Amino acid sequence: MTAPMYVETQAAWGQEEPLRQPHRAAFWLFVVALVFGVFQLAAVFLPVIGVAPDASALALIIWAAYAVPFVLFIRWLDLLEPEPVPFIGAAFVWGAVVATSLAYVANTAAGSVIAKAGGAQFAHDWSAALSAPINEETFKALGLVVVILIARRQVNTVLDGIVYGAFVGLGFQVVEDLLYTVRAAASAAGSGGDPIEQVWHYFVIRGLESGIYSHATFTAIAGAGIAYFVVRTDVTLQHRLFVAVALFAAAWSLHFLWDSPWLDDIGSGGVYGQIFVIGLVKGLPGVVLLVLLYRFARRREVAWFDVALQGEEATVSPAEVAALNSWKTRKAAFKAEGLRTGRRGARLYRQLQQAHVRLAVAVVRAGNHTDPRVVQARADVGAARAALASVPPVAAVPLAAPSESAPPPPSSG
Amino acid sequence: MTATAPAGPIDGTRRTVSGLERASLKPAGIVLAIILGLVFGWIVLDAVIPTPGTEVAAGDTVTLANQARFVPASGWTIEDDKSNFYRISNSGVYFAIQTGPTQIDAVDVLNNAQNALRQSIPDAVYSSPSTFTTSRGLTGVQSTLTSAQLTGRLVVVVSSGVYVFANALGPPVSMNALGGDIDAMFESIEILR
Repeated sequence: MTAPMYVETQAAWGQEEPLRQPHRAAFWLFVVALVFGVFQLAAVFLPVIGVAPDASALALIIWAAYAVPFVLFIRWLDLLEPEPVPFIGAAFVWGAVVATSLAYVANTAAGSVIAKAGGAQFAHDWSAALSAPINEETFKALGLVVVILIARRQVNTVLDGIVYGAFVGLGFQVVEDLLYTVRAAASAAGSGGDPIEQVWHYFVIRGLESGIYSHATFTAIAGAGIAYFVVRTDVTLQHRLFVAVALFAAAWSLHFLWDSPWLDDIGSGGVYGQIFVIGLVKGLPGVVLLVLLYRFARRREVAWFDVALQGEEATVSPAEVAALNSWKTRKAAFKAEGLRTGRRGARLYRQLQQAHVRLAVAVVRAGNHTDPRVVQARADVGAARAALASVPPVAAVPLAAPSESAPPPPSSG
Repeated sequence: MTATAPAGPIDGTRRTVSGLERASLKPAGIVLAIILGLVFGWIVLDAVIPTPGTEVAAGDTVTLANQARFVPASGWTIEDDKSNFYRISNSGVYFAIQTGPTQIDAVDVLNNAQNALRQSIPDAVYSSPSTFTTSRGLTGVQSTLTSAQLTGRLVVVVSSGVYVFANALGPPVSMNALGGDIDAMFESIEILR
């Protein structure tokens, strides 16, 4: 028998925690920072929204819609233990409201400092590459730290750090893009230009060109490091600190590379071809690093999941647990069930898989196998299984002439 | 081997300060200190470091080759001050304006300017030319440029065989923060007849 893998969440399985934790200083820090952010963003947005209201509304709709597939994708990555919506929302709001407003103030001052210290041309070329990673990556990373300080139990694995970090970054990305778009639209409208065209330009450049390479990726990488520091108490403090600092430095460096003028003259095939190549060369390293971190983190979360369902073998068979461990295996099991019992059976099998996941989460949340929530989740699994068992196998497709009668279906057993 | 379970809800045994868990104060204080340090650190540095070069004074008006005039934003640094070319900067944003005689119309001047800029900013996307109107009612054309690293705005006004080409170009953050100054400078352009 192999030695059990260290599972980060074991000691943190005590109970669910609400977002509202008025006895924790970090909660009030979150509230105060949020109030500051709302006022700051209002001061930035309100003067320009009125200049081009139609374009501003369009920008809001476009950027909100733009966030939807990213939200779904990040949630999809969070396969086994979906994070609670209030905490996901808090991470998104920190990125969207708090980090953007703080960065707006800090970046403006930093741009001036860099120009004064390095000269106008240096600032023109490098101020974004220097100020944005320093300010924005720090403020975004602090969002994850604040979530952890409010409710430590919500960040149980490195994958949780990636997910929360991605949501912080996504919030930042959407509001920053919205701000630039609305400002450009107002500027165009104020001087007789076409504000709607500005909205589409910004959407193409900032949304389509730099979308997947941008803030969500950077902060997810930093988030993996922060989560590693918090959850991997089986390794030395120095080791955890090294990983956290190294991944923050990686996020910083990738952001620096992205904003720097390096490699901007590569590519060919027209401006959009150039944009695509530049995005690929400067952005792909971050995506590759994130994929590697995700694979590492997911392997550990699968171990977490297996441990969670230990003792539930009577309810969930080892084969069913194995089938839950990736989208690929889930889909394969789903398809196999579809072949056996048809579309209705496949749908019920998916519901059975979802019941398995809820059972694992209930065990994790409760910390034992006797909690009423676990009992209820176990009953849900039984109900889903009974419903699936009631579906007869599909009849075999007759290979002979249509006039011959089909063989009788096998018993459903 | 496993992590110690963190604190849960207050159970009556945990020490508090004004209703807050004592253990929660230090980490939250560190986060707050980093936020304030970063924000106010830049602001203090900006206030302490003097602006190199010559700043535009409030109320200054610039006349170019006796053909055009505009009002530069105060506080910007003067980079070039020639007869027909004037350039100022602020936080990495350049605002440049030049004038001269021309036989072509404003759209062609704008096209020439865009072609010249494509050499240095190859990934820039330009908006199609649209009408631009100064505060004195002078009409011209304008276009914006957007690239991954820079944003900018180009304005051309042609009248009586004289062109004025002005552009603002810089990092998006600074362009955004200085948008009011930039708009006002464009709108102040006039051609002297």
